[in-house]
Amino acid sequence: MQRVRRTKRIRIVGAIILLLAVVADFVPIQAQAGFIQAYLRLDRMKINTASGGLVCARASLAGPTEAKVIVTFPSTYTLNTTAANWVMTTTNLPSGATAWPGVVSGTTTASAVDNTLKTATFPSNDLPNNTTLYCFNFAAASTLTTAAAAANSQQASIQTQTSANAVIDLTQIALANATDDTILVTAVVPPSFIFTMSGYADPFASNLDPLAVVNTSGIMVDVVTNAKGGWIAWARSQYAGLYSATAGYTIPTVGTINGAVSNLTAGNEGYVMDVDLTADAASGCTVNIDNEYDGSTATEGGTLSTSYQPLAECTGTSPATANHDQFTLTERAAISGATPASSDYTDNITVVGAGNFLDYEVVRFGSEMGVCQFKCGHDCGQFELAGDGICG
Amino acid sequence: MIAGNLSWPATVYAVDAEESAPLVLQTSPLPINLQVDPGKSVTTELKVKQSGTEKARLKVGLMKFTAYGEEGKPELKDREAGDDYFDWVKFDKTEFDAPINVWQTVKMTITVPKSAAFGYYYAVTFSRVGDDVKRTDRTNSIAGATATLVLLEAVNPNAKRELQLDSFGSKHRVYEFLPAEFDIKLKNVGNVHAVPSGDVFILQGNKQLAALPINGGFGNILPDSNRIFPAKWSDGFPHWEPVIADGKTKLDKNGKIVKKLVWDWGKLSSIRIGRYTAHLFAVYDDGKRDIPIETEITFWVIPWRFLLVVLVILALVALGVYGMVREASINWLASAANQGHCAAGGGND
Repeated sequence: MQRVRRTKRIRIVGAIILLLAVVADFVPIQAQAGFIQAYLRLDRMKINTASGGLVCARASLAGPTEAKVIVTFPSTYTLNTTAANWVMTTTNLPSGATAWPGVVSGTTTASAVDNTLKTATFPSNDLPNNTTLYCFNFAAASTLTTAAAAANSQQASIQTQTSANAVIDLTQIALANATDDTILVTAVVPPSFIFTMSGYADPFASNLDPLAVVNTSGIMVDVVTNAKGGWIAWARSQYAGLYSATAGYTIPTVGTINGAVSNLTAGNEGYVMDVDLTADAASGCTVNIDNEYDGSTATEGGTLSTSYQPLAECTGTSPATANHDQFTLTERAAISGATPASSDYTDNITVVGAGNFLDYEVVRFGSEMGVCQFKCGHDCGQFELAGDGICG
Repeated sequence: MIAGNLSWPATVYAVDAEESAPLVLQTSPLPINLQVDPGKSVTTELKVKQSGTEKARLKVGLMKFTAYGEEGKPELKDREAGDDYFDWVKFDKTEFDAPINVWQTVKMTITVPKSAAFGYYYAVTFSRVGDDVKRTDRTNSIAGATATLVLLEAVNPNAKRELQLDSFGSKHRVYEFLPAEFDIKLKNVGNVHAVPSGDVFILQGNKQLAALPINGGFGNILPDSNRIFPAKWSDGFPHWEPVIADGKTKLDKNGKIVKKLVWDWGKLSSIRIGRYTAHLFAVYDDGKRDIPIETEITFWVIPWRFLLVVLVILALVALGVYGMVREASINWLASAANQGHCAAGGGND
């Protein structure tokens, strides 16, 4: 009888335990929630480096009233415990983010910092909704120093609490540090010479006429170079005149290469090339048209030669660079009444441009060192090399 | 046209401007310096890019360059008799397609014989195929080309690097306002190219006012040639400057640079009056040590119009003061005379 009762009791207790176990799953409990979104972006990832940071979070619920936000840094970080250094700002926040409630930018500071617990506690007002991302920055000066060694996945967290220290939202985050967080950007500007000609065909504007000096429409040359010594351009003519294969005749160039322009007169055969300065780019070198070709009237120009003759050059104190120096080539011709008629008078002119012959590598140091050796009696120091030549 | 040939005046015809695509050539690097032992080879890369409006075919040419004349003007020349060193040069390609804005590399290999010595100066030209063909439409062909200058030195113990100062001059003996401009003319009397460097120091008495670098670009002087290096001292109040408009130096109708007098009152302390000394100190490396070149000239800066205006103003002030004093004296004398007269008259009364 007693045995029956004990068995019955055991069955009842077992049934109750089973019932409680089933029901327990449906009993609501109060638990810590995570933010819908939360992150900590440090200003520097480099190890052992002072850093500020950006704290952003979006509350999970609109209900509880936040009173503080606590950031827990990895144990490898060092926190300056002077709370007043941890100045909060709300400038330069990410697009779409809103200033953290209760933060007066540049004035509000952390309320407590604990280097043992690795926590920085910041004041907060209630986050009024769970649809907005709230952010604030904390200063870098005398606040946080990153880990001494490079590491990934260092545990940290962001949490909000009520004024009664009840956790509202808590999200674990991971931070990483690297030996360096900067990228050195270097670029090379290679020496270069850009030579542009507006075309390769230069027709005479009208028929040659014994009553006038006729010009070609002109070809413009544009020079861009970072050559420190400027540039130079030469030209040569295939025929030193206007040649007609049909007529078997050449309208010859006039004058001689003597550094002075030649003048054409209507009715007297002649052929010259004029070079006009169209643009001398500001700064850099100064363009000089060779006197031979620097005509100043519509009938003047220089004698054409079958060998290369300098047309123009750009010189000056270094760096004598050029940024779109321009000059225009115009051929002029005059004929007499006896010049054989033909439709194929023409000339081939070749224009060559080059950066002035400089050496970017030779004995630069040796030469400047020499200045100091002889002028100052000792080798140049670094600053003397870069300076104004005055002995140090 | 035939009728034209038969008519008078004997007209030579022209036609409308033909479509001719612009030529845009970019080369890099700029002058290349090579040193090689005789009997060995050296290879360098030349880069060229054409940025015209359509694909082009480029060709490579080889010329030589030197310097000539008192001013050492660079001269570009074709191969001449005896220029065997042209045969030392080989290019990996002499003609090639050049798409727009694509760098093309041409390898230049120079195989130097054992008998070579000292300096050889090449100009490698790039030009567009077809630009230099003879036209039949009474139109001139203007073929453009860029030249990359290659300075080759066949190393030889007998190489002689020696520069001599040919002249050191100032553009003017007397300047009204700065800039003062100087030309340093050096002559290479050696057998390889050499590079001078240094400064022109501007002094007034013993006080150094400026150091003007010369040949800051480290330009070469070719053997048996001159080269002129300019130096300019502009640090004065006031001073002349080119007029800049739209990023370009303004030119007058004759293509000459238009200048303006700049009165930068912040540089009032840099007013220049008096006698100055320009002291040239240059050096070059002769392969063993730095060799100095030193000389000096004097020049004057006299802002005579400025001084004249000041003198006129001072003279006017002095005249004014003199007039006022004189008038005051006359008045005083007259007043004194009147008082005396009155006093005398009163006495008589």
